[in-house]
Amino acid sequence: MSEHDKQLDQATRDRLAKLESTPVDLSRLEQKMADEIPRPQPARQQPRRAATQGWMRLAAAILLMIGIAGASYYAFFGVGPQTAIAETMTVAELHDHLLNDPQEAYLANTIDQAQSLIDAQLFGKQSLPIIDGTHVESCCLVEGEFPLRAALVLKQPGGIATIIIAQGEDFAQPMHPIDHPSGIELQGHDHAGMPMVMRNNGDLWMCVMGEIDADTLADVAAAIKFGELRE
Amino acid sequence: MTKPPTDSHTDETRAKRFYAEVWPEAEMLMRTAISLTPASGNAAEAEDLVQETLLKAYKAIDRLEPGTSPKAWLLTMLRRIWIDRWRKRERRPDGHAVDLENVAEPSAETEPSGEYDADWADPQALMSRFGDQDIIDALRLLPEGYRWALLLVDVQSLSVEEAAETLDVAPGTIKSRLHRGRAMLRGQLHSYASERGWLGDRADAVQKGKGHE
Repeated sequence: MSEHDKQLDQATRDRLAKLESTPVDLSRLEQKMADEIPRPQPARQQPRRAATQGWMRLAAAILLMIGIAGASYYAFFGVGPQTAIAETMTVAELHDHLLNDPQEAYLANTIDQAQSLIDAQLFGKQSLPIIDGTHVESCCLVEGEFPLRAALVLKQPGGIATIIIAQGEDFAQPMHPIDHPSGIELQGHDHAGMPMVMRNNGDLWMCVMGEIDADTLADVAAAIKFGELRE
Repeated sequence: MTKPPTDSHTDETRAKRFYAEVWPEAEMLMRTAISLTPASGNAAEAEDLVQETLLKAYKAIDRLEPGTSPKAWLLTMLRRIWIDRWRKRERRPDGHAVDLENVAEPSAETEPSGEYDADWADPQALMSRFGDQDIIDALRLLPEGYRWALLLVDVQSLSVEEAAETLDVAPGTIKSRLHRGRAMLRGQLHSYASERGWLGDRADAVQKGKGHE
């Protein structure tokens, strides 16, 4: 095969490979499938670690009693509660949740698959892997509850990472800038010894975390497009 | 990849596995199905094909080894269903079905001539001018065996061995179909480029470039 033939072959392969990211509309199919195979109702927030299950049950029982007492009080005196209890977990807890209950998580084996799953969640073609409306908060960066927009597990050669996208400009603050070859602005962070890489776009923040080397996490964070970057 | 079915899975567990492991591949199946169904058809035809594949996968999900990628498994199913549909639809008046599985292997007569390859002076640049629909339309015109080889290996990134298993042919057959299929695809794309005057542009540009030398 001549050098020109090799170039022709490679160009053809490269162009065909791009078909894998052609957008397709799954909305009608998703509805049809949901009619045939009802999507299981994801369990409400599972205890993140087995060791905490007993404690959580006790706490839940106490909260339930307080709730019943409070509801009775407000019903009797005609005054409503001032705040609602929100479903919130930190990104690190969500990371554990996705890994501990993989049947509730979307799994990707490649960056392209991860990109498709993120697009599907951001554009509403697929529901979130856990209950809709769940909020997340960053581990120790900023306090607050932010809507979860996408979450998945990504298998990489060096291990398993999770990708979580939350909405809120204030979700995180620049911490430790990473000098990535792509020139993309990435922020490094560490939670209990686990590396995290954050990337911001508009009002969306993406967090890539896992017990694999930080360079791999940064490469993943740089490769994924989300929000306005996708347009 | 497969294991004997067990009775231990409840419908809910099966549905959970389906939505966690199989449903994420729905886009991949849809893209493949779109390249398989005729251009005269509509998206509903591809959707119907994918839906049948997904339902079959749901029923057979106990046979999918946990932790393995379902991609090749699903594509094998998609192909089987597609062949069955074609057999029903394309049955000839004499009662014989069109044979889509036994693709005639390339011979000296079917070997792409490559007569237009010289026009592809900058293959990457010319390729990048084609839209996805152009590529899909060109793929649809390829003989089935070549189209499947390109879809599985070049589009869906299956290995040659996985594609060989999916299509039930030898790895060497896949390699030759890939090589010739790509050349056939370029031949088709060449005609699109020619119709749009892209080759003339390039020739002019080359001529002008030479003029400045």
